[in-house]
Amino acid sequence: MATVYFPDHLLAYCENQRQVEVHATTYRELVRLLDKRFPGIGRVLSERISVAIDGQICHEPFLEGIGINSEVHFLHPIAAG
Amino acid sequence: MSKMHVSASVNGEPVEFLCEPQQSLLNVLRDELNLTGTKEGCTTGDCGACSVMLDDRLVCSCLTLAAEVQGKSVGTIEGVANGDTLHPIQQALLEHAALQCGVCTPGYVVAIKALLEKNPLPSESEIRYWLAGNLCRCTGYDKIITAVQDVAQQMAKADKNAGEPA
Amino acid sequence: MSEAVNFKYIGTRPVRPDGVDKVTGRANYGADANLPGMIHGVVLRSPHAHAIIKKIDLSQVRLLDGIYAAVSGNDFPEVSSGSMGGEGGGDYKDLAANIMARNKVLYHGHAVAAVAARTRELAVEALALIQVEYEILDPVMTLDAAMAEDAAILDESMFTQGVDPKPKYPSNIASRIEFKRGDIEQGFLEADIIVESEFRTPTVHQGYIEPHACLASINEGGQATLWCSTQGHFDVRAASAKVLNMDLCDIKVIPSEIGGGFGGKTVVYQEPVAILLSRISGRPVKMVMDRDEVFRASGPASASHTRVKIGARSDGTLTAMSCWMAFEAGAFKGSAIMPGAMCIFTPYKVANFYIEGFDVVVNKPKVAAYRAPGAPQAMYACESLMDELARKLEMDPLELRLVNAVEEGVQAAYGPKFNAIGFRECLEVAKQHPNYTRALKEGQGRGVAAGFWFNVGMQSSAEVHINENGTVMVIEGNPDIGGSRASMALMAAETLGVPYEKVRVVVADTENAGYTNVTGGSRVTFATGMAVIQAAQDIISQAKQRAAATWELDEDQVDWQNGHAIPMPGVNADVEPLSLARIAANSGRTGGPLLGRASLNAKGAGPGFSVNIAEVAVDRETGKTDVIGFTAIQDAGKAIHPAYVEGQLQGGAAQGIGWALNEEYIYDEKGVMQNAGFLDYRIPVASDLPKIDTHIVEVANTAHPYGVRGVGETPIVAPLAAVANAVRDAIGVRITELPLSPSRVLESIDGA
Ligand code: FES
Ligand code: FES
Repeated sequence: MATVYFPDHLLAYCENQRQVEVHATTYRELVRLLDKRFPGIGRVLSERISVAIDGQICHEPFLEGIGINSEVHFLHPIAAG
Repeated sequence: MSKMHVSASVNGEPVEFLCEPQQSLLNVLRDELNLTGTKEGCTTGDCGACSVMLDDRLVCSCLTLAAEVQGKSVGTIEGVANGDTLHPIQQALLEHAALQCGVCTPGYVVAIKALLEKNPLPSESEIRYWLAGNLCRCTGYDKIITAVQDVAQQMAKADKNAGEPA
Repeated sequence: MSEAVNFKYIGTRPVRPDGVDKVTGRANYGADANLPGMIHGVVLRSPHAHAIIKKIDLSQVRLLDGIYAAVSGNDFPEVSSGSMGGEGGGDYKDLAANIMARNKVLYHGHAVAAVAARTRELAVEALALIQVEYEILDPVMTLDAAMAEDAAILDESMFTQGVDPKPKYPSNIASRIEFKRGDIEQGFLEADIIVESEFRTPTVHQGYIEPHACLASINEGGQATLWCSTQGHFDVRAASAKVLNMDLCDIKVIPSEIGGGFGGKTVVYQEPVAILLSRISGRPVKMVMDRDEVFRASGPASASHTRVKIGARSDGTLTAMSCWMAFEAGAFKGSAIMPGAMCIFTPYKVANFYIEGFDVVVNKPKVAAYRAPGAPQAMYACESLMDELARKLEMDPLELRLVNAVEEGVQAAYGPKFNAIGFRECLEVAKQHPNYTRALKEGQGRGVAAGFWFNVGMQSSAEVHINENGTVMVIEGNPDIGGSRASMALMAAETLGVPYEKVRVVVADTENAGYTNVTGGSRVTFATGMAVIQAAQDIISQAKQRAAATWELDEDQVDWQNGHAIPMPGVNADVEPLSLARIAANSGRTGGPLLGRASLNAKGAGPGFSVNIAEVAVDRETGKTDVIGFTAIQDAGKAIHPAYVEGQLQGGAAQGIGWALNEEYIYDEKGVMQNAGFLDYRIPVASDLPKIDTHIVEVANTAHPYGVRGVGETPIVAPLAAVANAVRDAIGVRITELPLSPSRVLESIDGA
């Protein structure tokens, strides 16, 4: 099971749970499953968000693979100079 | 207002052009003579991107009136390399990776050449003060200074060898 | 990486492929292109910092002989609110209103109209004939003023985001953000020592030497071609299409060579104006800002105000860190407060932290990204206070950082766990560095500080074409701002096994390169480099197929080594190795030209850490600070072209030193900038700086085939605090506001 960590600004969407376990193989699937558990969070996790899967940050995640023991963190997209 | 007729030499070639009395040399070089190697960073004499030689003087072409060059010789970046051979200064800047964006580089080449003609083996602080009128925002100057020190040595050595009887 | 890798080309320092053109004046920058029939556009700018536009009358100027077009905000389509996505994350409506003011001007220099005329001089003269009626409002010029209860409001429709319940009244505070972990109060209770202070930094400019410039031409069918100096031509295309309500495919953007950007050329200013003027006049229109306009109307970086509090045990272990930070966004929302807040405490392991941030609009030009946007201001505050903490603890400042430094496996303040990073290594190098231990004289001081930047990946495309003689063309879409063609060529050469000299790199326009995000975020060598490597691997697999066909072997019986196809070990084939050149020469018989390509959304950009050592001498009579030594140490993952990596470290250091010592926007009470030129906005010149020593640490980023992590932005982060800490060391007093100008230093010495 992958461990998903929610930052403060998402707690309102996930019943204040800081971390949940999800069995998913891709980011898309993860979002689908989370949305079932926390209706409405799916939209938030699909728009202007970056995700770190096992420490690797990805912009516009969708098909990214998620491993059995992956750690998933959400973060604000980072601007750049 | 009628335009002024100016004859001068640019990079060793005779050139004639018409200009407004208040038009800058930089403007004429870039817009009338299509010599766009000389860059414009400020038009107020503060950045050195527009450096050219007027006879044997290093000037900011943005502060020089085009009409002033009547009868004089102008040297721009386009005249620095010799045919298909880069000037050693150009070569040194390349080898030391002394340019990043490169927009300041033409001004540096002209200014460094003027420096080494006056002072073939300048100290580090002489180089830094001579080049204080040439702004570079990318490099932090370090590699430019090293390139100048290096090329000064090389050119001095080459001069010495050339001066010695075979 | 466990095994040592022997590279043949990577890590060498060849001359860049575009070098000769750049030292001979041949390279064409934004202002260097001309077209037959071309006319010149200039912008009329607001003489007020804050005013309502009652009326604009262009009728007189349109009648003037030699004037071909005149436009104001009314001539642009309405643009509705929508996120720009991509890099800056701004709003298209704001972008449109920044390009040409609609109902209100929000800073001195805000564009209100534009004309195109036969000559630039004529266009400038014609501006005087444009009549604009303003109702002048109070300018709001500082964070304190903007956040005050009774502040004049820039945008009546702006309500602070991120506060609960939703505010009833409009505010200049666009948003409030918060990050926290652990129990901050408990954390401070556990501390043996608590330090606290507040810091301010001024508005500064990126200061690229080449002003913004473009040349637009649109045909009768409505298809526009735009030549311009930009960090990202695909973004210019998107922004121009949006602002002019054009179809993306009707705009072709050709990137010129670019004379510096540092984030400031990720934004669009005059490009859509030039297209519109061209459409009206039927002629090509060139627009070049002058330096005054560059300062008044393009990209500054946020002024900031940060209060920080740090608690630690007597052994140096941090127990709590908290901060309150506000950034000026300029005329429209969208400062770099988010990344600033995300990075302020990132270098350290601390169980309890609390970060509160505010994005605040003021009557100054809309800020643009400036190298690691938000990080220099944020980390100046944190690293200055860490220095004070070290003093109070009587601990070596590097040791204090080593005690608390983040490392692989630690959860970053911004969320995920770090993979391999080189922060500790940088600190260790600094500790051993002779510049850290050499003796200083009376009046001199030394300071250290750490720097951090996320670095980004994002989308890139690349093609590799093999010419019929086996030479290589790399085609990509990132304007080369600091030698990236050389890095691309090195990675292609390494992957293919062909000499560097046989590789050429083309930065292609929007019609000839695959979509690619901006040259920014320290992403080019990492992300576009990865695309180039993959495109080269595509070539290798095709070349192996061709060799297999030639030899009548199976594809998996062919290997690739040193630029040659060879039979796999153990395959019994009596054949000569086939070079890329031979395969290319024979390609007509084996399936046509070799064309490799790759496109990707790169993930896993490795975070960049640095440590800087500044040594200064302060003249107690004049208050002038001279930087007498500077050492920049940074983890590059793998330096593809070390000389250009050093160049990034040195250039960032110089900019950071300028930010610390000299640079600032100075305004009068009416909100008019008083120093909009290089004479008075003084960036460091050669004689202001010492040699800048560099040390490249290489802790490979496992997400990149060669270990690359971005290097372009981190270098500007640490110098502000490093210099400030050195000045503190030299004069014995802490100054908490930048720049450390002679007058401010003198005041502090006298006050002490
Ligand atoms: S353009 Fe002449 S000095 Fe800047
Ligand atoms: S290399 Fe960019 S300004 Fe000097």
